[in-house]
Amino acid sequence: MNHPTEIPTRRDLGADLPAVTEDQRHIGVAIPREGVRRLTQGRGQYIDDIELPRLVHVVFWRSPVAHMRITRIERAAAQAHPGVIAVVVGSEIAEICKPWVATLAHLAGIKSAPQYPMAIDRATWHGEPVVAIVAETRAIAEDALALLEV
Amino acid sequence: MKTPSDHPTRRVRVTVNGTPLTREVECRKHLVDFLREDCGLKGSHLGCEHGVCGACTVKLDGQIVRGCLVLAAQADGHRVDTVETPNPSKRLKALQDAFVEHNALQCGYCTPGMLMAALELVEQQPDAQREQVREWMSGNYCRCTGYHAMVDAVCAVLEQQKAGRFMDEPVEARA
Repeated sequence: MNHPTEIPTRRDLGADLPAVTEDQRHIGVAIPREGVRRLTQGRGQYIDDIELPRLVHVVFWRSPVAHMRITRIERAAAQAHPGVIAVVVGSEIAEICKPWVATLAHLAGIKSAPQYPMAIDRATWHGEPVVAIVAETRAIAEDALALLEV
Repeated sequence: MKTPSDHPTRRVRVTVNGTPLTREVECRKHLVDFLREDCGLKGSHLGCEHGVCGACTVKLDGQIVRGCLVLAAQADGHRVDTVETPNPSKRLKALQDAFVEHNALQCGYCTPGMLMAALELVEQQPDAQREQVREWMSGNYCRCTGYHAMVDAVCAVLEQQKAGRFMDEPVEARA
């Protein structure tokens, strides 16, 4: 469909332009990227660089194994740690966040198992988040991480 | 809220990119967190936070270090230079230009660390061959572009140096 002979000579837009460009300016020429120089000067802004008013930090206790049952989470000590704002487990976040279900547009009815934001009852991959700790600083949140018992 | 005994702090005097700064920081704070949070210099990035990825590479008294493996307190009385320096040396500027020219970055997250590592190579090993450049840069991870363009860029700057482009800016002797 992209063969030059098949491209209509008239188009809705740019009817006065030739169907196949004869403009050779950009062919075989490296085009400099816009906005890349500032990245070499440390002047990019990535998500972790953003500081907002009332910004807090979250860290996760993640599954250390590929598969585990979660029988008990002891979080009182972490919750009581100064500077900790919230300690959240999977069942709680599931109440306010629906699980992701992947579907395929070209295969009707095919869909993934529901994927919750955090593990509920069991973790099924190494690194799956099990407990989230929100605190005033990342250091405090990581301190509280050590007070968890899972 | 904080209990002083849990998180002792310390007054740290550091010359960052030529500007003397005094900050009260937790003793346990890493140099890169100090730069990012206390000095507002977000150019040095955190990748792995355990010395593997090199995204936090900065210069401490002219020598590159992992910002996540050095404490801010250890930099007390010393000089720290990052990629944001307002007065980049000719070599650093040449590296920045070469990275742009060779398209040696995509998202740019690893680039500040790459540049600091490359800068030390250019300064300290002017005769490095391509293989040595690859070996040297192997301490810095990039998850976008692959490394060929970066090695090309560093080799180009080494060539410029051999051609005498930085003659008027001799490398300062190591302490």
